[in-house]
Amino acid sequence: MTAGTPLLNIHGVSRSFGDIRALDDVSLEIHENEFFALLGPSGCGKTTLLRVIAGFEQPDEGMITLDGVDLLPIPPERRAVNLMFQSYALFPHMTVERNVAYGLVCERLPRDEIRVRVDEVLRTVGLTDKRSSLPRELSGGQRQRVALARAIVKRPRLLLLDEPLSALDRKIRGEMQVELKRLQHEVGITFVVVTHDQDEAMSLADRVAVMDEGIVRQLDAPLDLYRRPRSIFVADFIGSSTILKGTYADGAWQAVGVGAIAVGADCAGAIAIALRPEAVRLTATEDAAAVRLGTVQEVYFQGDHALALVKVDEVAFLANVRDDVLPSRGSDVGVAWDATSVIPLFEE
Amino acid sequence: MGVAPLWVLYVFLYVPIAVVIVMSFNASDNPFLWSGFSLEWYPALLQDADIMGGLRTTLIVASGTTVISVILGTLLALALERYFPSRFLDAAAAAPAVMPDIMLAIGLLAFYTLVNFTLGAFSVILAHSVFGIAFVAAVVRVRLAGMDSSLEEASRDLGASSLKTFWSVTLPGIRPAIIAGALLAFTLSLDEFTVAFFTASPADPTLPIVIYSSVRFGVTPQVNALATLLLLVSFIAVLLIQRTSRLGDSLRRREARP
Repeated sequence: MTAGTPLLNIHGVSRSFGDIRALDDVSLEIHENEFFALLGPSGCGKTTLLRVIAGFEQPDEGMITLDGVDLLPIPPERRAVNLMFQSYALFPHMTVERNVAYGLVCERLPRDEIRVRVDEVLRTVGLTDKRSSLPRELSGGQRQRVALARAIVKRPRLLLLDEPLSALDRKIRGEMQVELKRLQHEVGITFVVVTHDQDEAMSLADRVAVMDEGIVRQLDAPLDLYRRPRSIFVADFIGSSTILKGTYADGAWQAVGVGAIAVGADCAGAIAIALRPEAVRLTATEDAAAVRLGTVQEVYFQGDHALALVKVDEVAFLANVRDDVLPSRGSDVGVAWDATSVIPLFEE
Repeated sequence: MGVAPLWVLYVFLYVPIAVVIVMSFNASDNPFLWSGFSLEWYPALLQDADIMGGLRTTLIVASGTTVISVILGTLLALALERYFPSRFLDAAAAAPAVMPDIMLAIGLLAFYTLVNFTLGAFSVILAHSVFGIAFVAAVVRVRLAGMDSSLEEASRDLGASSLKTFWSVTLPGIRPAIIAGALLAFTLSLDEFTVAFFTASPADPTLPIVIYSSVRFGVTPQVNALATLLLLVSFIAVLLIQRTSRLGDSLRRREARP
C-alpha cells in the first residue's frame, strides 16, 4: 500500500510567522490511497502544513503539486482537497443532512444526485437516522462522523484531518480510530492526519512524518520509526527509551556518566544510543549478564507489565518487567541487554 | 437583608413611570388632580394633528435609521473583526455610542449648515445613524468574536464562494445580534430628542420634539397617554432584545457542550 503512485508532492515549502519559522524547507511525497500522519508536538508546524495544503495559508517558498498540477495558485474552494477541522466546524443552524449536502450544493450538482450521494455517505458513517438532527443534538462521536461525511461526500483526492480524535472522550477514541481506518479503506481516499498523539499516528497511519520546529525529522512506517529512530528527538518522542549520549571509540560506546558499553560497529559516528525498555532486562546483581548495577527507583504499573526506573550512577534506565516479578523500590539490581538491541542515533 | 432593598430600587425606577401611566387615565384636564377614570385621552391623540405628524416623522426616521444602522453597522463589525483588527479603529467605532448627544447635535448642525444640507426627516436619519451604526457594530462584533472562525473556512473548503459563505454561514450565525442591534437602533431613534431637535426641520418635528413643545405650557393628559403608548413599545422592544440575545447565548452554550 505504501508504494503507491505519488499524489501530493511537497517540495521545499517554508513559511514564517514573524521570527518563527513554522515550516522550514519541508519536502514530502504522499502516495495515492495512503493513510499518512504528520506527528509532532504542538507548535511543530504540522497544522501550518495542513493549512498550506488546504489553501488557507500561502507558503513563503516552495511548491506543492497534486496529481502533478501546481496547487498553490488554486483557492481553497476549488482544490480537490478537503479538510476536517479539529472543532469539526459543523454549521450549527443546519441539519446533519444539510451540512453533508453543503459541499455538493456548492458544486451545483443536480438535486437527485445530491440526495443519492448524501444518503450513501450517511449510510457509510451510520448516521441515516440522525439526518434531521442539528449538530448540537449529537454526541461528540456522531459530530465527528458528520464532519467526516461532509468532507468525503465531495470525493476529494486528498482528505486532511486536523487532530480528528482529540475532541473525543478516551473511551470512544479507540472506536473512532478503527472506524477511520475502515472508512479510509472503504472510500479509497488518501488521508493525511495531523496529530500530536503518537499512539494515534502509529496505529492509524501507513507512514508517519515526525515534525519538530518546522522540520521533518523522520519519515517512515510506524514500525521502522519505533525500531530505527535516527535522532534523539524521535527516539524520545515515539515510545520511551533510555538515551545515552557519548561517542564510539575503541569498539565500544563511551557513554557519558556510565562509561564504556559494548556495542556493534553500526554505532560509529552516532551522537547517542537508545535502549527501548523492552530490550532492557533486570537481573540479580551477581548475574554475569548484568552490564551495570543500579538501584530500582520507581516502578510504574502499566497493566500487562510494569516499567521500572533503575538509577545507574546518575543515569536512569527504563526496563519493562513482568508484573509477576515486580522488583521492590530501593532494591539493588543488574541491568542487561543484548548489544544488537542498541539503537544508534545520529542527530539531536 | 432579604430582597427589600431590591424592591426599593425598583420602586425608585418605576414610580415616575407609574405616575405617567395612571395620569393618562385621568378624566381631569389638570395633571395634578385626579377626578376619575377615563379613556378619553387615547382617542384624542388620534385627533391631534401635531402629534400624528410627529409620530409619522418619528416612525420614518426610526425605520430609516434602523435600515442604515443595520447594514453599515454589520459591515463595520465584519471589517473590524475580520479584516482590520486595530485598537484605534475599535475605539473610533464605539465613540459615537457614548459621545454626549449635545456634542453630536451641534457638530451635525454645523456640518449640515456648512454643506447647505436641507433639514428634514433625512437629515435626522443620517444623524441618528451616527450612533445607531456604533451600537449595531458593537452588538454584532461580540457575536462575531464568539463565532468559530473555522466555520467560514469550512464553508470555503467545501467549495463555497465568499459571498455564499457570508449568506449561508456568517449571516445565520450573527442573525440574533443583528436583530438585537436593529431593535436597539429603532428604540434609540424613537425617543431621541437632543440630536433630532438640532437636525430636524422646524416644519417636520419628530414626536419627542412635539411633546417637548407641548409640555412647555404644562403636561396635558394627552401627553401622558402618548408616553404610556411609547413606553409600551419600548418595553416590548427590550423584551425582544432580551429574548433574541438570550436565545443566541443558549444556542452557543449548548454547542459548547461536549
